[in-house]
Amino acid sequence: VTTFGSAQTDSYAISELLAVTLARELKAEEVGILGTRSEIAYAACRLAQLTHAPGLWCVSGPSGVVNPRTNAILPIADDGLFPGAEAVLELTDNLDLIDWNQGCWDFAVLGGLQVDRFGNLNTVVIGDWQRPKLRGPGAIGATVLAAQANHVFIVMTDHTPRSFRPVVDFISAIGFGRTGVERERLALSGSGPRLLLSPLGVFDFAPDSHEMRVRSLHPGQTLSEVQERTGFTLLASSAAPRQTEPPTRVELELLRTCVDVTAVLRDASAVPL
Amino acid sequence: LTPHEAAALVVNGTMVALGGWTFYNTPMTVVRAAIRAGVRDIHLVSSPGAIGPELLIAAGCVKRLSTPFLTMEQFGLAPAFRRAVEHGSLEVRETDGPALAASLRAAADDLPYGLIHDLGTDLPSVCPEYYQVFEDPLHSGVRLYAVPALKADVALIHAQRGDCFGNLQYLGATFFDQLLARSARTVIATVDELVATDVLQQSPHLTKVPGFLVDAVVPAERAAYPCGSHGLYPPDLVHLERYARMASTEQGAADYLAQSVYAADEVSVRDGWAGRPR
Repeated sequence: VTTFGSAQTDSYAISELLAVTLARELKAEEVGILGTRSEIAYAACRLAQLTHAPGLWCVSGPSGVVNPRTNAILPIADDGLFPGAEAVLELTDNLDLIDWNQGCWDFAVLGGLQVDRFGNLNTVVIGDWQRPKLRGPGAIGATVLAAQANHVFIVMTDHTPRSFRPVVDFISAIGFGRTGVERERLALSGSGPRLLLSPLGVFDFAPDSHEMRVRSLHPGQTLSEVQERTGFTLLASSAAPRQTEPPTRVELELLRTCVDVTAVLRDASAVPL
Repeated sequence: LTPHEAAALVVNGTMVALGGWTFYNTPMTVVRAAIRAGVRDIHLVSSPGAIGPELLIAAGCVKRLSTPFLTMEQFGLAPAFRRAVEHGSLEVRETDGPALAASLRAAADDLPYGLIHDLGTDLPSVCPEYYQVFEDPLHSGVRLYAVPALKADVALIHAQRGDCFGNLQYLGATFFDQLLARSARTVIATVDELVATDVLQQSPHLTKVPGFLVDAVVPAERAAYPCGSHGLYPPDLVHLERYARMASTEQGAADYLAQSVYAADEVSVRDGWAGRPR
């Protein structure tokens, strides 16, 4: 477990920081959809609902459960999320909203084996598709959510030159495409990645070029170190970027007592893709 | 039917669809029976899966795979799938969620293909025969691909309860199962409990797949084991983690198959792991 701060009450795991940071970005009445391996995203939705965004909608893609209210983080397809939820949609019906409808989801939270400077994601292969060095799990519904959700949050649990690539080996979920301006050409309905959260910092995408840039670095990180762990040049407005706002005592308390009582976010082994 | 009798309906070289979702509602009892029966050269059309499609691949049953997702979830990438693809011994039809849904819907609707939006990914470029650029006769200006129908010869699904007429009750999520039941030529369902029809009649809204769509019911205690069965039992994470660890080598995968599939009857599979008495 990576922790910061001296006293136990001030320290937090990096996944807790990511969950809190993402929660602050979520707004009341927005409708979000979560897929597999969504521990951080589910925690963020729950925390947002318990704080500033009680009207946030959170839907599981696989099981169709709407607004689960568990105090523990469970796999997003687990039926343990059903008690206390508001609805369970049949996937065969929900497929219309997931795979075709262009206006339903305000946001999706996606990840990948690789991400590039235009926010394109790869969950399919490392290397050549015909004979890959590494075969990933596959594209699943991220293809359509990346294209059609109003905006996309990317959560990367690994931040190394291996995972942050100049160009991904395979685009399984589009960010801004290989040129950075592909979305307009394709007339995609969603606006693309809004933020990327990694263990090192929070990143957004420049308005015109859509290149990834530093929004804030997590406590203890320096720009030069983060740049060194990134396989392309990050845009940065200054040599000393802002620091990610650490979780408040209240946020951490809520997270640990009402969202993540089994400490999934503090168990580092539970987080990687 | 018995699992053995059901496996006999899975014919070499045919298209076989698999229901459930990763660690949940996978008809594992029939998956194991098909492996014991030595099924070969199938085109596996799988719901997002884990140990179900993994074992079929590890045992050499699968020639071609169409699935949007195959993973051991928190226990890492799917080891047998990885090995087969990286060694070039498995043909992959790269399938995303929309393509699978459109292909199955087209099959259920007896249409030759389904339509999906152009989502700007690399999937069409590696599988152009599957993602065909659609020339819209209505000139809507919408960028679309046509994906061919996937009409499976046999669908293998799992429900919590069923009766002798094939009515299937789900006590949790149904995932792709209803679409598989509507689209496949033959539908085989494992059920954890075979109950009298009057039990189902007390809660007919739970019958998500009516018996007229189902050809065979295979009752077995904890039929999805080691996967969980929504509403009845959770996945056995100790077993699944052990599989993921063992299967990281080819020999380990062979050992797992020998111990837990070929040499095992279903009761010992369910009870033998981690010394857990029933």
